[in-house]
Amino acid sequence: MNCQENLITNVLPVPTWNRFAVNNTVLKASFSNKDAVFPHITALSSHVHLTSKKNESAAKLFALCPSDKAIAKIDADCAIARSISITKDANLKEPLIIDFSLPDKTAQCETFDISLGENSSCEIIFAYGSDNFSAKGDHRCLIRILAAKGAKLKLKTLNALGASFSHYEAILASLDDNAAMSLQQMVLGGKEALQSAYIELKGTGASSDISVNYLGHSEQKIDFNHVTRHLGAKSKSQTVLNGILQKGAKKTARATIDFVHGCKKASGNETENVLLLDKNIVNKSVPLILCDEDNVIGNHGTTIGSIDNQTLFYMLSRGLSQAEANKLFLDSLIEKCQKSMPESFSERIEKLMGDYDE
Amino acid sequence: MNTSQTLLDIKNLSIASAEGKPLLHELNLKIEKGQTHVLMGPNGAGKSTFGSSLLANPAYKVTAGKIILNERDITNLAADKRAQSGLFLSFQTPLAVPGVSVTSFLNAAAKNLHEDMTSRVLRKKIQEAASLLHLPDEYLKRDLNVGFSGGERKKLEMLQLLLLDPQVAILDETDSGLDVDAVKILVKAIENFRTSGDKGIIIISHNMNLLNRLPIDKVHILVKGRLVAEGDRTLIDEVDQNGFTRFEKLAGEKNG
Amino acid sequence: MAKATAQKTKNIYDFKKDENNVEKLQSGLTPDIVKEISAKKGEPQWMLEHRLKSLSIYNELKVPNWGPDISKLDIDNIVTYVRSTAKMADDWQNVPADIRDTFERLGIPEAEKNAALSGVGAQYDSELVYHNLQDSVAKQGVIYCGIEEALKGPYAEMIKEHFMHLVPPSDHKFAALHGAVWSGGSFVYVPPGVDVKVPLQSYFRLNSPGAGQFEHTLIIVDKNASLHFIEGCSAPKYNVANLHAGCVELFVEEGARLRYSTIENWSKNMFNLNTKRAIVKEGGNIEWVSGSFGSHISYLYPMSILSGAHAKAEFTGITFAGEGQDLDTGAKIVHSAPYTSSVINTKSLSKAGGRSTFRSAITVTANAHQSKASVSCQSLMLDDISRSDTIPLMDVRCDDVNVGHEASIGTIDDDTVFYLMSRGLSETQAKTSIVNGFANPVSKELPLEYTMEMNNLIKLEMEGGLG
Repeated sequence: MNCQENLITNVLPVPTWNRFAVNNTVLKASFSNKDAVFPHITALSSHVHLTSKKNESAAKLFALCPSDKAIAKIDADCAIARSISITKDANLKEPLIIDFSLPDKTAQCETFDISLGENSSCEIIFAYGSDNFSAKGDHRCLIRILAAKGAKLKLKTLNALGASFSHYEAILASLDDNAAMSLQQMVLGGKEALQSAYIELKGTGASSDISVNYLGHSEQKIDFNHVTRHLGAKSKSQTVLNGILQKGAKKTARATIDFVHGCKKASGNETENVLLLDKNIVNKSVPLILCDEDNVIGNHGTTIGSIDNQTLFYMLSRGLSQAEANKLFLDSLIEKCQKSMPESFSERIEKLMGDYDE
Repeated sequence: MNTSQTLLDIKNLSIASAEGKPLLHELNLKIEKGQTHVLMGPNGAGKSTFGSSLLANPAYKVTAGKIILNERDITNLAADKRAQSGLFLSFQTPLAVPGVSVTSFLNAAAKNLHEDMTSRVLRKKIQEAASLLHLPDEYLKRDLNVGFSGGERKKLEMLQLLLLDPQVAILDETDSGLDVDAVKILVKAIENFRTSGDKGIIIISHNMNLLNRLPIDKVHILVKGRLVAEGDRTLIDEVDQNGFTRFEKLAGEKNG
Repeated sequence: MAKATAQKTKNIYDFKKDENNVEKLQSGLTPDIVKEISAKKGEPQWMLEHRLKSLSIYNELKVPNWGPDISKLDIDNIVTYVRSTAKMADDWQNVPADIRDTFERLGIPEAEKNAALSGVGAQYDSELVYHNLQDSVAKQGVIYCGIEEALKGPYAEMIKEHFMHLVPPSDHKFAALHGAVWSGGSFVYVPPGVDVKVPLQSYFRLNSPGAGQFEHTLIIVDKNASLHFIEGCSAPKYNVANLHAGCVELFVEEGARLRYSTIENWSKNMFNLNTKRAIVKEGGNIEWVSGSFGSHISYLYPMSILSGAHAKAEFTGITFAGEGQDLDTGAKIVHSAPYTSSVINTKSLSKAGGRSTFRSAITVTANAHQSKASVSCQSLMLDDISRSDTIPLMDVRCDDVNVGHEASIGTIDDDTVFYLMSRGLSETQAKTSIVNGFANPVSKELPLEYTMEMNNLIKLEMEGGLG
């Protein structure tokens, strides 16, 4: 299995000026799966059915990103395919943890399909780490989600890969009436991190809450594409991207709220805060609101730059210097990721940050 | 007078905006250890500018005069150094800082000012202050002031006051947006802060609910950027009954 | 009812004149047509070369792959050059009666007479028909004349040094088209330190069906000088597509100020593919005020390049997209020097199936330290058959800056309508005043007569839509 052509991905739903190079990004072509690396999966229970094949009905989710050439290709090429289904009304107390420790020379595509029965609720964590900091590899994964009426999903992904790893992560989801999904993507590592989420709020009252925390360092390339499509009446969405760029990192964030005709009384919010801590960084932000319905509320706010004067004065007035204030933002970001993950990950995150600092 | 009792001595202080517009004129104000002062004045008199410029907000600059704290000239110190030398300002409208959690902020600030404070002691102090202020634990897990109501933000300012334990606290309208019960909690926090007997406090407020509950040593009236009157707490009652008309006339004379 | 008021709205602009005394060139675009244009104008050789080079660039470039669909614009069916045989006059009495009548109906000579304007230029189809500058302003050394005329005068060299340097023909396909077939437009030069107190106004009128207008405006405001320039555009509605591909180049020198106001009310068969750009040197200031009400399709994003320290740009815009309109408007700012600042503030309204798109790009280069940029765009949807998109972009490559962006989209808030109705306003009155309140922060920046016109337009649209 080889693909020769470069794959267009993270496509901006409505294009803009080409010279800024934000309309899409390219996933490098030459790729072939090596020996499959299987994850460690914890907290399986009688309400969780795990099978080694795809969920056929998840294929319809490709319609959420029609111009994307990478996602379908990854699915076609996947070395590992798993389906997880959660029984109707099940309420999982423990998070399901799918933990990858990727060795040097990894090359792998995966597809995970998750389906949640009506009124079920669960937390699922995907953690990607490399087994040592200098390991090189190319990891591509697709996570597809179908949430039935009233289902609640907390999904977290942690990219804690070393500085020579490429990571591609695409999440496709469709939510039925009153289903709710929160997605937290923590992007702390990787030479290249191309991460996206396409969430369709199909049912009445469906809601999504995307939170992305990232730390760009070591000449890293980070490229995001988050698209929330409001189809259902009274659907609600929130997208918050908080990140820090330093040490030559280059980041592009596309975030789109798409109010489709008929989504009466829907509301969507987008917020992006980018703290720039070094001179040689590149930050591109493209926050779209597309609106084909009148009775909706859409809001967006972005701040990009150094700590603003008022906030800095507040920090100074508590005795912190500017350098200490900068460090506070860095530490808070790491701490937030640690607190979002089970305690067993804290040390790993700490070690990863230590490795990056060296 | 025994000078060693003087905590904060503001001498002929004039303040302008960063662009050079004069805002405060020749202020003189002296606070002894253990004293609580009140600063009153009509809207736009410059009360918040006073508090903010005492902490060296870069939006303002000193054009004349001196600020002496504990016999040390702090006039040329930047905001962080002034805080480290013992000044504290409770902001009138504390801003939200997404990306920084309350806990990590409190940790960084407290350990910076009190190097010897262990994490355990710090945690304990935070817990005590939070419970005194009726501030639920979950607020401490959030980002700084993000999703806080006005009253909760003020409580977090007081929590910082108790934790950082400065020499002089300036409380800029800390009571605004608080209901009667919350004002009582605020009074408790202020009393707690001044227990040691050597602290100085400047309260910017018109709220009788607050001022009636505290021992007040001195009252200053600020009008149009000038301190036009100084007296004991009877001044508060005069303002409460008659407003600032008399003082505005005084300011007119001074400006004329 | 809706139809009638819509008619009324258009009335003041929507009147046609017979095409008497005109000569038309064949449709389509060839080097021969371009040579013929140049020859008729008797312009310098370098300009002919510029035109031919632009034409070859035009033929190479593709139409944009983003923005509204312009596939219905078939350049071969556009008579690119239409010229009235009238000679340019500096007295309205010498302007042909039907053309004079057009401008009188638009209120231009009136405003000039009332000294609300210090100079007026009027272009009818491809050529200027009137140009005049108050003596007092002329005495200060201010030049305001037809750009073609200026090409033959003492400012020829200055024009050569600036013409299409800011907007090179290679910028995009329609800039190249402009470079090849441009005709008419104004040249303004304000000498150092001169403050032109009363605005200059150029008015562009496209009368001929299926025609294009490609005027070029070149303004140089020299060191510490200041100017307010107003540009107005309109055309009657025909069933064939008209094309406007003008170009505006503004040079704001050290410490100079320029306010450039535009009211665009082309008819709803117009493809408005206009390019406007300003370069601002140290301590200079550009203010754009832009009202886009007309056209079938618009691509319009005035760009400000802040090339000197402490340069400032401010863009205030309002776009109202009604039936059959797809208006893609916004602004571009480039911060390429330290301590520069910019503010973009826009409002857009969509109604009766109209589409409005706000599009912006803020670029902050690596040497723009201590710069600030803020963007605020608000969109109001007036019904559920219209569309409104917001497509901003920020490209920041310097850490020590503050860039902020805010956008909101929504409809008229029911609670506010209820509040106003509880005070005795009818539903229509309530909604009209809400829409006026929404537009007001921007429309109050327009020249007064246009603010009133804007308010009238809103009133008529609201009554039409709700009645």
